[in-house]
Amino acid sequence: MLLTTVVLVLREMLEAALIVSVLLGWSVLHGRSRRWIGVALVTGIAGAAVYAVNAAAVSEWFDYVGMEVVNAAMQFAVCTALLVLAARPAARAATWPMLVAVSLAVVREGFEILLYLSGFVADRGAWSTVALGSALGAGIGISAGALLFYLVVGLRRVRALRVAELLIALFAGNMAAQGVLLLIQADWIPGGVQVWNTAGLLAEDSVLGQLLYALIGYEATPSIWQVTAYAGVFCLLFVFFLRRPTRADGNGSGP
Amino acid sequence: MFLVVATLAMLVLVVFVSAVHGYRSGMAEAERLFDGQLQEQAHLATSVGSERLATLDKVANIAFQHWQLAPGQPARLLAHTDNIPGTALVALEPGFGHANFGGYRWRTYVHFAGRDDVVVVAAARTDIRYRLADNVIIEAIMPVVLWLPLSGLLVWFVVGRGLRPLEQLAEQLHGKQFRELSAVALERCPSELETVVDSVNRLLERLREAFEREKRFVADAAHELRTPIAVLRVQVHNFRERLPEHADELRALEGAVERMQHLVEQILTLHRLSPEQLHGRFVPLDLHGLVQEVVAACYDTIEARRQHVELVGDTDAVERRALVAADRFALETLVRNLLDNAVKYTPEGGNVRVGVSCGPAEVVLEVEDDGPGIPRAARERVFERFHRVGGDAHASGVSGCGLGLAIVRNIAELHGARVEVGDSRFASGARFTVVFRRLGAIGG
Amino acid sequence: MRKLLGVFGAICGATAVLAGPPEFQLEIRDHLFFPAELVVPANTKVRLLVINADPTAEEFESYELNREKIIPGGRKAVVFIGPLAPGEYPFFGEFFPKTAQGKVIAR
Repeated sequence: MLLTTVVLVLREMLEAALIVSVLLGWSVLHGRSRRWIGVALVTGIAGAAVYAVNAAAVSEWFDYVGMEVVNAAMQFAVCTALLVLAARPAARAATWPMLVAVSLAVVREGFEILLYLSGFVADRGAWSTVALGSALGAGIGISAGALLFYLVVGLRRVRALRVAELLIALFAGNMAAQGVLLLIQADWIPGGVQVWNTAGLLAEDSVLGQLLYALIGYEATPSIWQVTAYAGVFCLLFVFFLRRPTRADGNGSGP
Repeated sequence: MFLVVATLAMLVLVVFVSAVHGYRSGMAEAERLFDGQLQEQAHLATSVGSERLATLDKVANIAFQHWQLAPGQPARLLAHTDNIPGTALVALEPGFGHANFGGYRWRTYVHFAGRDDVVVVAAARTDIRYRLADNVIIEAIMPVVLWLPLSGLLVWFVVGRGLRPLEQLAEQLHGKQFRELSAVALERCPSELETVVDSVNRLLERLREAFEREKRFVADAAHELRTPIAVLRVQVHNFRERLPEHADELRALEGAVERMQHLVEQILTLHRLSPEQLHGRFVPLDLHGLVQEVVAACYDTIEARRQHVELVGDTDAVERRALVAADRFALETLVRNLLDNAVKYTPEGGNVRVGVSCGPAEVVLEVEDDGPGIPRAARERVFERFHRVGGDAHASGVSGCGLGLAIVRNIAELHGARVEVGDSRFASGARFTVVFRRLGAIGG
Repeated sequence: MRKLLGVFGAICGATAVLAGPPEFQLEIRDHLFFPAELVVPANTKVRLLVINADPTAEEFESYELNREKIIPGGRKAVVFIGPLAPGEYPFFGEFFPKTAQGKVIAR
């Protein structure tokens, strides 16, 4: 029970912490205020609660695949927000795409944690275990996020920007691939062929596999469409980021 | 902040990950232990006769089946406890497995008794096993997690304390006045900081020496120039008497020499007003009385320009006396320079108003005129050394060296007062306001 | 024309019936999967109807099948899996993985 809770909470936390730290570092690197993060987190948590309360109804939409469709829509929205962020060099630190990306990511990850925890409301005997597990998972997730944030901000500015760009591109690619997988699962798009099978090399349920899944969306047996979506979004963001803001664009921050 | 958060994050990460790791290995160990127990129970159940097996289910979380193997025929169930169905649940191959029945998941062990082809299937409820193991291991790692907030507090305290000298150093450096270059000293200087403090102090020392040299040089130069200039002035005067046909050129020359003399005097004044010179010479002075004296002394000049000077401020009553702590010479210079400035830039026949007023905690000196005034953009720069509004091509055509107002600000700063420049209450012109701390005021 | 449309409609209807993947049921009760071993045809896409009879939510998860799906307590949900190569594909309930375990066997 403890390990289950830790793994579950940590997995969701890590994914959310990743995007939160990177985007927070991103706005610090651009000399912007970090106040938006509070709004995004509160919105995200509130959204997750609303979603969790309505989960039963949502799951029966679209002939019992409602959750896949809604989750995929959220993943694609996060992806789009990040594309918008990167698309215009002049508005690289615009607050609202970051706000959208973080709050939706938090809804998506928080909802699963809430639904899991709701299962123990009646089971008093399990409270201490579940609480301990959640504390461990959340503690590790938040700590990793904080360290990642300092890692990004602590690098020299130019390198820090490159690292943050890479992480944002990886994250967006991951979101796109997950969205596609959800639609395949809902049978909205065809499964396609499996591109590789590295389950023997690095199993998804191993510790490293789980970590890589949370960080870069590692899949041992991905479908061609997942790989295509991942690569497409990643490359698109990469190309966007190659267009550096010029002085005239008003970078908005000093060296 | 960074140090505290990063250290805490690192601590949480290491402690929690090791707690999870401990849980995992603890769980694996417990599982081995329980499996061994199950195996043992299966062995024991072999010795129990099939006819007595049904009486064994005193413990609800363990179940047994006895099967009879016969070659070429399906296995036959001999007996089973009440908590297990009488059907085949797992393949009859020796070893461990899992099966779901009775609403629970069970860990199973198939044991070949080695007599009469009897096979024993023993099963134990996994939920009970896990709960037992969970409780034991959680008891062990709970303290680690509960003590973490305390270690967090300790980290915060230790880091904060470790950084105190650095903060102190920063504070001391930040609080340094422009000209105050004394060495910094920390109450408790850790060895890591000693080099920094030493370097900073050496740098401050060198800076102070450089300032000192510069100041002394300027003062010495100005002092040395006084005599030759005085001689020059006399000589030019004599020449003018003797060569009336060159009177105009010589008058211009005489003017230039006069300006030079004025400049040298001002430089000397500036030097005399350095903090080291003034130190400890502050006495309580009545600003109102002092202003009256200065105006009286300047009266001839003002009269010559047919200007009208007004002195405002009723501060005769004892409780309203405009007392400030100041050096007499410095304060006089300040008032005179402001007055000179106003008189100089006001056209003939213009107005100058000097006001002294008392607030609860401050004494305000105002000098305003109806001259051309100072454009908003130039207001900050008028106090810089050698700066003159509009450069040397000053519209008024009045001579000046650009040091008068720099001296005013210098004196004001030395007295902890602030100087501002704004529009006068006349139709045009500038107003200079100097706000002093009032002596004897509450909190002053 | 009408005849053509009729033929077209018949074809569509036929494909709809033919294309509907075979459906299998999986029930979650007391944090256990019933059946714990589900046999499905190999190389065919199947529609898996998961019925959660427990009051608590459960997440059907399988690394081998590459599926992950939350089923709220007391609800049904559909997961499409396959086409699968013959073999065994373990799955588990992520919320109660100690007990909720099973496997899909593709034959």
